[in-house]
Amino acid sequence: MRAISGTLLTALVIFGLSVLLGAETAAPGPTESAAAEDDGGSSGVASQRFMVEGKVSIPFTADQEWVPATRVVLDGGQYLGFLRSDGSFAVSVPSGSYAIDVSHPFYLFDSVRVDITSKGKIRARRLNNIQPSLVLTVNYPLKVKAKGRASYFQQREQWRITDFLFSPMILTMFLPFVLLMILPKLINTQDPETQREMQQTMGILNPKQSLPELSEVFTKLFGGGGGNAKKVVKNKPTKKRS
Amino acid sequence: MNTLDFSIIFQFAILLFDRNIQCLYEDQAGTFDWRQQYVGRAQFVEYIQGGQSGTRIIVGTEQNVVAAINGKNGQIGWRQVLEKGPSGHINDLKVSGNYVVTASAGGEHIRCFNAISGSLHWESSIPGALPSHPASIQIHGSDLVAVLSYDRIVAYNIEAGNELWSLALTDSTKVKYSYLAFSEEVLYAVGISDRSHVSLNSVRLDGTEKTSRSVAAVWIASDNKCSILKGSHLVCVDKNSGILQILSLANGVNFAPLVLQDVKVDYNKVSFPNLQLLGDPHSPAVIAVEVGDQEYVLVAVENGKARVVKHLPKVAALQVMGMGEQWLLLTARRSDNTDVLNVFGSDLLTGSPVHELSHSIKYPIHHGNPQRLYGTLSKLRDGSSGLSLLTCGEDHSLVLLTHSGKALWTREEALASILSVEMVDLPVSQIMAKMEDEFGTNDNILQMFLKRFSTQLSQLWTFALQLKHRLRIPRQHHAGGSISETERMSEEDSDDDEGLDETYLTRDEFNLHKIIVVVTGPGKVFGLDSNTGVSIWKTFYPSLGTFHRIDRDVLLLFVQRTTAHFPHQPVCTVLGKDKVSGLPIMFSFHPITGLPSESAPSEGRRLNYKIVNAVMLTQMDEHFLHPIVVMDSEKKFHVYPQSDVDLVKQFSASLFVFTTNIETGIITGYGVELDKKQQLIGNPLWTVDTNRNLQAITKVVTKRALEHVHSQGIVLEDRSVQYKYLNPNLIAVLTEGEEAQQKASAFFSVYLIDGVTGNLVFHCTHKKSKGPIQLMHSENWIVYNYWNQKQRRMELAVLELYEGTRQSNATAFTSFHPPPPPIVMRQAYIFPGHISALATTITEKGITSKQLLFALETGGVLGLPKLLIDPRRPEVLSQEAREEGLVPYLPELPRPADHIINYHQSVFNIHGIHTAPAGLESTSLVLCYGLDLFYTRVMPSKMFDVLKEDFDYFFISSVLIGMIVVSVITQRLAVRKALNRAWK
Repeated sequence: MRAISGTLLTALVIFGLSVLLGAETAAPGPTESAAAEDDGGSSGVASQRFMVEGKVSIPFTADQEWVPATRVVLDGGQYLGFLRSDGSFAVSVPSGSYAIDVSHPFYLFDSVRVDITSKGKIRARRLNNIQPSLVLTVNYPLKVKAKGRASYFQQREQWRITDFLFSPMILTMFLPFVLLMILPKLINTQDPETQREMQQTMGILNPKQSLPELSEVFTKLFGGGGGNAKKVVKNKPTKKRS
Repeated sequence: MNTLDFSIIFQFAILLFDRNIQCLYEDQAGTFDWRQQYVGRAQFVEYIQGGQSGTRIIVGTEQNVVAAINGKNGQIGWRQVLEKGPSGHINDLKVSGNYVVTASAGGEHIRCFNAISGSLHWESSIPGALPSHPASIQIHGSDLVAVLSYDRIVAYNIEAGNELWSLALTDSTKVKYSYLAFSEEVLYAVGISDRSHVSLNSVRLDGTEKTSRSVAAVWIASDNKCSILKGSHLVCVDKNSGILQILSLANGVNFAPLVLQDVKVDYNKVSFPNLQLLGDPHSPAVIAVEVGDQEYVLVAVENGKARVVKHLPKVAALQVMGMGEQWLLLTARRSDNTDVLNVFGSDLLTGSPVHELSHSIKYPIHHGNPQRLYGTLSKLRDGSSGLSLLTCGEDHSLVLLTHSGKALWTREEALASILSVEMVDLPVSQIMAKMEDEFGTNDNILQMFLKRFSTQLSQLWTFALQLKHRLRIPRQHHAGGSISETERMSEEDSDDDEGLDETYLTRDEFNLHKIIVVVTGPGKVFGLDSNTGVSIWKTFYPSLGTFHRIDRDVLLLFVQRTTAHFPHQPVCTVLGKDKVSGLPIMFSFHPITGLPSESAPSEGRRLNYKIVNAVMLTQMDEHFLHPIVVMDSEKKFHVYPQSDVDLVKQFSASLFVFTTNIETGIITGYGVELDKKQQLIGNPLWTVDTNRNLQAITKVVTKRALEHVHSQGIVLEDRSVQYKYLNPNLIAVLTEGEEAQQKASAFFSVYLIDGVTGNLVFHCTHKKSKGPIQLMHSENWIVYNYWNQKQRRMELAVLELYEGTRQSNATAFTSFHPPPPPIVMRQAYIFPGHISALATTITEKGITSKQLLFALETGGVLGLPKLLIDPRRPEVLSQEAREEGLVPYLPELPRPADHIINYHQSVFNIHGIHTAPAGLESTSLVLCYGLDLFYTRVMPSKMFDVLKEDFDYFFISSVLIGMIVVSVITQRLAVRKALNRAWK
């Protein structure tokens, strides 16, 4: 997966370069590519017409109001298709390659490219503007399904208490507050049982009780800060009580 | 898979900029935008009576639209917009039962629509159809549809849509088959062979027994006006002699001529005589010959013979309709230059008047003369018959008139063909104007004080009145947003009665409320209220015709004086050409009221020379009027108003004009000089030949004169400044051509030319690319789109011009001492969609970043920030580039749905977007026009200068009050505590 997207990214960058070159002035045009690349729209000789057929469906709605408002647009309006009441369409076009867009004010559809050979063979594929030669075929006759409703509007921000409480600012402010103020209260230090428990845990943490001097050294070293902190912790509840 | 990847990247890119772009909230939809939908000028009108959905009027229009209009209220029931241009041009439209059959592009598209829902019933295409050869349709009975195209007749079953039979016509290269008619069981197709004969083909309804014969007619020309009357007679008008020629289709051997006796007909006139078929297939065989302006002759045809029934010298439009057993002739005429339309009914055969059909109906003068009538009768409760009359006016309007003498509804279809738009500021209120007045006078201090005191007192008084008014009516009825066009009309009616609120048409706080002056194709000028889209005034200039430039019609609109110069009245001028003489004609009017301005003649100022160029100077005369300078074909300059000649002479040394000749491909620049007679004359200074043999000029785009550029350059990451190349005289010329060697390979070039010196600043060519190209020119950049033939996709290219790190002249740009050739940065992007119009926002001071507006063929109007269409977007985002705020390069531009500024209000065939600044720097006003109109406000950098409308005053003030309360309480507590401590 990752490898694929990586190569795609590089392809993208190379493509960007080629676009740059495309805009260059009066550069000798690249040689004419294969016949399949031939432009479809301007072939005036081919009077024979072929039908591009398909069916549009919108799964989100039951009524048929959407049918007359939907248009099938080939190459930006050069050819148009209108929907029959069952959602099907047929557009007669000369051979060539056409980008097909289905447009409706409320719904979004995927674009498709349809290639028609001069003999009338029709192939449909996903429209890919970035790599036009890439072929990812889709079924023909086309089945165009709405992707979803177009979200034209921004969601208005609403003030909700949960948003406020779970915002990172509030969390960073309140968590230390909780730790400082509430935790010491939960653990009742006056209770003899808890005192004993604490001593036991201390005992587990400091199994070597034969080295008390070292701990004294440490307390002397960090004595100032530790003492102050303890004072703060102890002071606050006393303040409240007074 | 890969599209998914790209879309993720795009979403990322969008996320980066979402903060900068204003999007709409759902509850804002319709609060400051409006849309109006139109159908265009009706060519075909058919009634569908009764049924569940009431009376429907099916129209086929010049704008390639098929639509159903509700007969009760004039609203569009459904509308289908066919292909643009000739491939969608409706040749014929017929209605049978619940089906509407249309033929467009000579039979390339035969479509049958359901008349109730508007959905397609079936569609077909006739092989070998030529778009240049109009097709015609005939429906027989309730099931058979026959279509005549260039070289064949095809019959369809209307219910199933299957082809029943097809018949090839002979000799179609020489014979122009144009007329099709049923006569009981036989179908006739008639073709004209120029100056030789008429070909008659007949076939039975089942496609058998085909016969073909020809009748000699040496006088006939392929542009002759003919008609088939009731399926039995061919009636033609010999244009040269004005003689009516009649031929029986079944057995006629020769044309029977009919000289229109007793009728003085001026056959030298351009478009007469004309033929008009009257009534339906069952009515008597009578045809109306239009022999002059508002002059008709009724001709009855029987057994190959014709006779004149009636001469109608003063009739604007006429129609035949049935009432029971009787056939009635309905004629309409405006009584001399008044708002009254006189409708007369008479018996068709005896000519005796029918009084219950004769009415005088109010038909406002701005509709011009009615051109066509469609009358229907309905039985009223008291047994009499009520007439309802649909009229198609000269101004493209559709009006349904009723026997009660009033218009039931009006559709202003002229607005579907807008050519020029200007948004004009409303005048300040009278009190404000008085305040301003104070500064111009030289009164003594006491007078000034008294004046100031009285005006401010009256200001206070009006404020109190307004407050009272507002309290009484909580919501003004003008505040509504999306009003459909027919509601508009009813509102308009009520406005006519009570008159507009005096204070309504004054400038608002942020100058967001404007009058949109639009000039339309038929010569009708509207003043639209920008808040609602309602037309405040409308004026019809019947003689105003359009100029034709390159591929579109043009009418020029100038705002000669804005409303800023009280007590001088604002002046707008429209310049077109006279419909009859073809010489230029000029109308001046007051943009707020629509009344003709006092200084100019109300019937228009006619200019007696051929016009080549017309410009409005940016300089003002002593009356704050911008003079219009017109150049004629003999290179002489004319100044309007004429009194400003001296002003122009004064500036003539710095006045330069260029003209573009499309035929020769040569652009010529002129300087303005004085000749021996002290007259202004053009002196050719430079020419640029674009080589017409290879390519044709398709667009010439200058910058907007109003545009302000706030920043002279951009600051790079190393803190140096890249100065913009801001040449106000720069013109962008677009040429398109076909490659000579390779077939079907088009190319186009963009030339940037200095309009004063003719210096070619830049030039580039795109190979294998073609139009339709839209080009936009603003500040120091140019954006255009094109179709890449090789990759088969739409691309958008941007050019940006920079002087470099040094600015040659910081105070003013001069073309005579130009800076060194500019550095041109350019880039191309893939555009996901097809563009029909392109514009950029414009703001008061130019500080706000620009937004590009793209009208898409699929109905949306996309707004993208200029930031995304920047040639400097790097492929790899370096630290420096990030600091500068550049976006990494991605080949395809995004098309997010929330940047569609008209959300689900789709608009079609948009051919122009007009933007105008508002009083707020953040806001730009946008009017998209084409078949539909859409107006909105855009804020490209969000609303940075006003509080958001959803600003939570309650929350902020409660927090503020809470803080104050808390601080007071804690202060008290602290004091008490300090006191306690002191006691210890």
